[in-house]
Amino acid sequence: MTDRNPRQLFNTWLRLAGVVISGMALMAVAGPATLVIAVLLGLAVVKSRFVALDFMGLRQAPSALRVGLFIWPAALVLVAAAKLVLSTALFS
Amino acid sequence: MDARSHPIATAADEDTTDTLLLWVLVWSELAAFGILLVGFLVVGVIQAGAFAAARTHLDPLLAGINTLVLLTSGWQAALAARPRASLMQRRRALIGAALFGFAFVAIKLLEYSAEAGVAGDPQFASFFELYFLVTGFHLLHVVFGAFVLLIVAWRPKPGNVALITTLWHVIDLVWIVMFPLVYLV
Repeated sequence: MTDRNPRQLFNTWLRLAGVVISGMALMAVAGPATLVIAVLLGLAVVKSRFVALDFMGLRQAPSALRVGLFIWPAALVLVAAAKLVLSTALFS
Repeated sequence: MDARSHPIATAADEDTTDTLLLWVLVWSELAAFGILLVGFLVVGVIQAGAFAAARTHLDPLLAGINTLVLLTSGWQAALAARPRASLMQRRRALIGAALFGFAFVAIKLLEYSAEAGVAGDPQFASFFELYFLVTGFHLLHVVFGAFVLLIVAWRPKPGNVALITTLWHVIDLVWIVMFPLVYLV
């Protein structure tokens, strides 16, 4: 359960919406270039942090839970980044 | 012997707020989706050309809008899970979270209807099999979760609200990571 008040939760939602809209705008302007995709992967980890800490209320939770819920998105994003580098190196 | 004076604690005396099984469930979901996403990425390396060609038929704009919809739903779920929320606030937020969940489903089905035409092309077979498996598995979680949110809105006991909202945020978390992996990488 979250310990945030409605105002703090609204601010978190606003930040998340800002990150999503920025990502979509970046994609629309610059297209699916490798660097853009790398930035969007980083933003996915940022969004995950906001959801875990503020919406799920893990700021005061045991560190194992906080770290675990950071490692899951971070590990998948790293695998995706490795795939991106591999595909670029092999097929460009 | 009087039960109240018995020295051994009964199950009723134990802490009822323990969340061990909730986190076991959360991690089993994350493990399942993690395996599916890694599988998707590995096949994407093996069939890089076909995956890149198939990906041009996806609609990242609709998926981006769906990210906003699901995050809004997660915000409503977080409002419902506040310990100080009144019964009415809890109910309203849970219903709001469920409605945004159903909006996500509607947008995703719209997206599927546009992709169905090219999904049968043998050149894209592997991509669309995995795409429908991964995103469809997630979509089923959203449908099921939204119905459970409505049931809990009917009887919003704090324990039930904490359980379904935590799982709802996990579904949200999975989509946040799934979006760039499936649509972009």
